[in-house]
Amino acid sequence: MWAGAGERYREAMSDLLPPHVLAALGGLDFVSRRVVSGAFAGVHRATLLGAGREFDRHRAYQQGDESRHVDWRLFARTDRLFVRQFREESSLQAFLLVDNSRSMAFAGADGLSKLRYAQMLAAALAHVMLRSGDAVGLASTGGGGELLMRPRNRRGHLHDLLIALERLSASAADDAGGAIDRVASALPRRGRLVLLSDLLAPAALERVVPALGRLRARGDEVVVIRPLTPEEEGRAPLPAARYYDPDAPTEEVAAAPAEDAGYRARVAAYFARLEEALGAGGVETLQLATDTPVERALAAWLTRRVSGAA
Amino acid sequence: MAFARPWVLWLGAGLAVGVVLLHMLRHHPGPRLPLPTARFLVADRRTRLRLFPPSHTALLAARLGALAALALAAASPTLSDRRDGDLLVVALDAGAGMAPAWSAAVDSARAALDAGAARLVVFDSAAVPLEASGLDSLRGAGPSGATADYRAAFRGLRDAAGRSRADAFEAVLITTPRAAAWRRGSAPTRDAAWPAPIRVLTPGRSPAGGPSEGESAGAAPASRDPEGGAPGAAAAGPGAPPPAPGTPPPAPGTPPPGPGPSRPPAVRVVGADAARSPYLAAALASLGVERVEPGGAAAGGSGAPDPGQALLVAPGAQAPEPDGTVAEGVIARWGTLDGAASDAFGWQPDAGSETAAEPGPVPTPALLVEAAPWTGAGGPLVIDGPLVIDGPFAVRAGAPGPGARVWAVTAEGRAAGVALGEGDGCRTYFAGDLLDARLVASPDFPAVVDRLLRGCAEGATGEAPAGAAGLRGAAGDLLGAGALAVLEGASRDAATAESLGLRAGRPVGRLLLAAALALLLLEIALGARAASASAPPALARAASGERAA
Repeated sequence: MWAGAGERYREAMSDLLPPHVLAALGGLDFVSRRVVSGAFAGVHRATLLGAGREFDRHRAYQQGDESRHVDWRLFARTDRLFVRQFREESSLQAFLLVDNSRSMAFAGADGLSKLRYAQMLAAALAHVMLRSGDAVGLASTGGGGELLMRPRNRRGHLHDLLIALERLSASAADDAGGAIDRVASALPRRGRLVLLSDLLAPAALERVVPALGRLRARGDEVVVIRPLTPEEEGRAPLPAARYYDPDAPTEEVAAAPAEDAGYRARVAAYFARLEEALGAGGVETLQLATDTPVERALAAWLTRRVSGAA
Repeated sequence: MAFARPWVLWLGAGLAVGVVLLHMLRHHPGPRLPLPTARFLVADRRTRLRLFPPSHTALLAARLGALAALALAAASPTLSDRRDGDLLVVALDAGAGMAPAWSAAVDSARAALDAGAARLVVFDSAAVPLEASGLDSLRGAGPSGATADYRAAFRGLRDAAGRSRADAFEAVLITTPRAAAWRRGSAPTRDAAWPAPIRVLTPGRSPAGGPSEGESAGAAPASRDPEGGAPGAAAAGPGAPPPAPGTPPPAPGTPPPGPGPSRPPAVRVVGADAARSPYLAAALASLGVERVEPGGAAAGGSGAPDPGQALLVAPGAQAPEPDGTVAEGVIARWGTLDGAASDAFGWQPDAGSETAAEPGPVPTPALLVEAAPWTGAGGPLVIDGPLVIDGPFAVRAGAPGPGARVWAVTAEGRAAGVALGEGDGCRTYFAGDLLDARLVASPDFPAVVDRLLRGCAEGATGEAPAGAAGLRGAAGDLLGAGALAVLEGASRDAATAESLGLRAGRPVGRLLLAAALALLLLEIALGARAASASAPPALARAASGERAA
């Protein structure tokens, strides 16, 4: 049994986290833009002042303060004793919520489905966050919002995460809103939720956006990464056919997207409206095309994020 | 492969093009593909029709195949086994009328058969094929005693052609053309059986009048009619007047006078309504008569035609009978009860020839009649058609009076055509009852009417033969030119197997029809499969299957 699990792990590693992805993500942190309140030291700004590397303020010396925290230079100028206080850096608890609805199974011309792309993104993010000391959990929207793994940061957790990711498959049920609520109940405050979804569910605007807003309102960091194929964007040609939404297969429309000049604009308008709604709630969004390598897209995003450009 | 109706193939080709176009333009559902952003698409039917290529190629092929097979079957194809080559078909008249020239006729047939590929048909009232070797025995046996019928000859020619495998045919009819062999229906039978020229060879012609076996195009037949009467006065041609002293007789075979200045451009018709007689009107029109005037008195003097005009005293063609019936197509009556018309030609009864009869139909032929209750205010009455007299009557033989020229007589010796000059015009009469007691003035016999219009042009002062006996024999020539024209035919196209409607080879239409039916069954099966593949229930099942998955 153990040999079988190891084999699956090696396969998952080679598929979801190949060496070149690991190399590209080396030295990058998925730093939270919010103040966190983790129990362990990490890379994120914590709510407490204390041991840390980031200077926060000066405070008048009180009896009992350690002398190593006294700012002697300031004492020399003011002849008064001040103590330097630092912001603690803490870890956080994060959930990777992968949308495994049927629409995510759609693959572009290169054969890479959005679900697979999301699995690779989740694996890479889990690797980055675990390396930073964050606890990472995993959930999916399928099956009514299944909590696959609670956030942890122990040895071997990445192994379990990768196997769980590998086991994810497209599911008929698509209740992203309910899944977000269930994740919220399992996530302590000031945590992080990374939703990997195309947000093409018919009720995305009505259910997903409010659920994410609630999560954001309680202080959690919410990031939505939307994988999208070039065909869906309208960048790649689609043949004339009868098309149906995988999440609503009984309804079909006969069309020739290549001849429809307004198709791309309508898709872009939808996502613009979606991002506007998410942005209004303080939700960070990132759209990634599946024809962009995961490590390149992720590294660029993380780098922009640290620099504040993103 | 030959086709009886090749135009059907063009029709089938047009339908095939239509089927292909329909396959190109038909509503095509196209493939069913998933697309999460499908709700952002806009349906465009025109785009689909333009973009979708033809599908169901197997169904299309089956339809085209069935259509092709149906078209081929409808075109009546035959696998041709005919060889290239011509065939001479010789019809030899073996009727009783051929007795005087029988040896010459057999020689003519022999010569024709020796010329190349030929087949022989011997006919009298019926036609039978005969091998060339049988000619010698036929020569010794002589002609049959039956009256010949040209209709049998036409059918025999066609049957002989149908039994051969030649591509083209030439027909030769060896006969002495005579009215007795010409029956009602001969003309349509000839056109239907052999819609191509027939070369008529008249055996026993003297070299002085042309070739010994003179081709009879436009020629008058010989002056004999053994089946109808003895040789008579018509040796110089139909209606020829007795030759004037010192005038050489016309050569045998001399065609009747053609259209010329002697033919009047206008005709006044007495005793018949040309407008109501399609035969007479058509015959006059075929002769180029420009104007037909009605009416006018038939009696001498009062109805004198104008210069350049003929007064045609025609029997009452299609005139309603007293009981309202119409003697359709028959020109059989002339004369009026007042006898005035009888005087037009000065008819004179022969003394001592009177025959008493009881009330009832006047037996035809009847030349002169005196009915007992009727004293004949204007003299004797000429009747040559059906007439019923209530009281006893007497029939006498007679002839036109002096000055009238009889240019044709019936086989029974009655005067059939009489001409009498009057002023600058000519009063002309002709009777019916020449063929089967009826003479149809059909356009097939323009010479009859032609003679009517020329009655005075050829020796209008000639004396009529005395008595009916002197007129016998003229009837055989009366129909010569017209009958010959019909015999030879107006068409100049050669007879081919196709024009004769002969089946060339083995028909394969049924085989193709069976193939078409098989292809139609295949088309139905393919069509049902295509319909089930694109039916909405199938979509629903597929969708439900996807949901279950």
